[in-house]
Amino acid sequence: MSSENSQPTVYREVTFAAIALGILQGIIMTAAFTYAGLQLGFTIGGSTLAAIMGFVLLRVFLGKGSIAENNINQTIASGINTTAGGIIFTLPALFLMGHLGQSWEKDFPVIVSIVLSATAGSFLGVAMIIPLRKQMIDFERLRFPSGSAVAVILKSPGAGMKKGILMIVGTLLSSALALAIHIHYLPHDWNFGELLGLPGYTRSAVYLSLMNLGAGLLAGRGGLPMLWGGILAYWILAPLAVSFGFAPTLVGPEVTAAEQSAHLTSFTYFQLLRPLGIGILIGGAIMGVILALPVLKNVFRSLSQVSQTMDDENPSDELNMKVIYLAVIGCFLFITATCLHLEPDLGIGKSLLVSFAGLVWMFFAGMIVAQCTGMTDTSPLSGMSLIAVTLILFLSGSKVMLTIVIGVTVCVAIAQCADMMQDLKTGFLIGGIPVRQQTVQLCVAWIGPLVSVAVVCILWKYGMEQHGFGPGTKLQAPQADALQAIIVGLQEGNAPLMKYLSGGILGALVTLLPVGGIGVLIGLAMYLPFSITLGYGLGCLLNMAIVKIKGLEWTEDWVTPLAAGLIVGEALMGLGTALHSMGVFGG
Amino acid sequence: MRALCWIIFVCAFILGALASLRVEVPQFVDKAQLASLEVAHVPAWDFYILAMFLGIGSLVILKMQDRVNEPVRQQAEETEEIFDEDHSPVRLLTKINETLAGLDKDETHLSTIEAVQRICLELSYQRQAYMRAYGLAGFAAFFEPFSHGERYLNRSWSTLVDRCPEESLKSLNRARNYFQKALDAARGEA
Repeated sequence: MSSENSQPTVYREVTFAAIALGILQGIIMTAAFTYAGLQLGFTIGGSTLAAIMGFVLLRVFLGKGSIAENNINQTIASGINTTAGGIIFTLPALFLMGHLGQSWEKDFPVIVSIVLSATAGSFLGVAMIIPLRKQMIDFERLRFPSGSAVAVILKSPGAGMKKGILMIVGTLLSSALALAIHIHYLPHDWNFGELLGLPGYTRSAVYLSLMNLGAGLLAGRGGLPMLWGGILAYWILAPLAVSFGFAPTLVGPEVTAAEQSAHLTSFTYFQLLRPLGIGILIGGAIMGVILALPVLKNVFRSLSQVSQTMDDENPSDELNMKVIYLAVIGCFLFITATCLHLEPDLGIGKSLLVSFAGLVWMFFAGMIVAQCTGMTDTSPLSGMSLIAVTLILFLSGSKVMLTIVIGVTVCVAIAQCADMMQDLKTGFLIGGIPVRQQTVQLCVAWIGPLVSVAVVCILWKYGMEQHGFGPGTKLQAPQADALQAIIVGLQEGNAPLMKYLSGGILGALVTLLPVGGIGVLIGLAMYLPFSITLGYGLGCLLNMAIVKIKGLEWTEDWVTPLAAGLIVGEALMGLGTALHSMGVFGG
Repeated sequence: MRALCWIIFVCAFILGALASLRVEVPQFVDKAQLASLEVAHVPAWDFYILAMFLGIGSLVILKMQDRVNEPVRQQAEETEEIFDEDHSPVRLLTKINETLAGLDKDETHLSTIEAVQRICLELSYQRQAYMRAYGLAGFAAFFEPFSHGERYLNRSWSTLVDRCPEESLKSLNRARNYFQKALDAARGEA
């Protein structure tokens, strides 16, 4: 195609159709995902679905949608629905613990505070990404597997038949496997450890997820340290820890071998490896920032000069740094005001301290979650939120209400960071202008919190049973129930703080090695079950083998669209099976 | 010596992690106790400090060796991240600029854009090796304009697919400018 063959037209990018469709999809998905999250305990990413719907509605029905326009649509839709993940982990715990849900008049001011807190978190999450975009997308070239998959969908009109077919094949394969697992035709994991007679705590199984394999296929060599981290954690450290007696033995006449194995597996993971993994993740990320300071300094300098150097020929591609300063100062003042409003006896000094600690943690957690998502497509959101809750509970002197309200801000902010970065990666691959994506996401940042909080409140008040959700009801709210248990545990002094500290130092040390992102990847490998790490690592190894045999170009042409299809297929099937589990489609 | 340092570092990491994992719990518990089991997370600090000492020591020796003996090649060989003359940033950026020079200033063409995208892929694949060779600041000096150029090249592709040649041409010319800036910066660094 050359310039002479085409009609001159204005390029469609930020249009009314894209914004309206994005908002509509975002609202519907937020409401649905909040409900699904309360029932199932997890939320689903909406970018893939939004991109496909945008393709159908903007391009096929309206007949004039462009690639960049559809990117704006999916940016808005996913930016709105991503807040559901942050809300369902935190807010329902306030209802379950009896701090909310007694009388509407008493609850109203708190609900307003929560909506505003979540909105502040949402704004801050988008703004924090401004300086990190250059570092993670332009310099580190993190793959952001889901973001890359969405780019493949958006580019499909011009990518050629071969790539389109490969993506469809990947989608069909992945969704067929996910369906077979959902109807219990296949197990979730292939437990090869059982066949080899390995102990359960070595977690020697492969998670049967082609999405996971696809993420590894896209990450390639860069994701490999995660596999080494998993092997180190589950095949070296876990057996050593058990043999040194770090895990108690279950005794009693009625204890079976299976119960013993399940107890050791659970104990080594939840009490030993997972907290250490969180510590290593944090230490690795902090050291990563320190090592990248020369580049970050340049990034901040060039962003500060944006407004001075732009003209008609060279328009600014980046949001002005004033936005981040404004968001940080605004959020700081807002959290301080929330502290004083909800807990007046906290005093101005402690309120300022809580706000400062919350903000600093939001920055680091947002960066860690974005980096993990960029490298592996898996996000340690719950682990980072757990640290936030621990920190605020400790600093505020066990004020549960305040802890959860600030927890909402943190959760929403870090979820928004990861989503914005995925969207910006998609934007990079299709040639989107970052400032346009960031501006539209900032403009709609308030919608998600409002919808998600409203859904939670409505479900509590007008639920089919006595209360809308919680243990014993149809909507079990497993994440909030877990948070409640954690808060009770923290109040009793059971936080593994020493593991976070010693893990943090180890993570910082290992990051000094000349291997990119190794501390974060090893920490993530300990944080996640080994079956996920193994499947992802196999994808990385497969990519490396293909690159070696067939070359980089062949891999990009054949493997990338196939891997994108694998991610898309399982994401769509995940949405379908979630709806099925909720009773839609007769489930 | 390097191999030995690496082995010591890995052993130190395992020792440090194991020391961190230590908890104080009863050796035997029954099912009833399990629900209210109190776990005291107390790392074995003596072993942990020993591990830190070994880890930091081996890391310092590794870094000192890198300074003494040709740092770039040593590390790159170890991680198989070496780049030859064909993959040097100057060579690849020149190739990009030459390929784009094949088009007139008022012409845009899908196959040329795709050819340049393939060279960009090669260049970005070598980024770890470039980082080691030029240091972070030197790497950023040419990689930042290169990334801008690549994004505008992608935009040129998307807009051309969407039958908007004016925007495609505008983006392609911006990409050209950025690639030229990147080449100049890479020549400066080399």
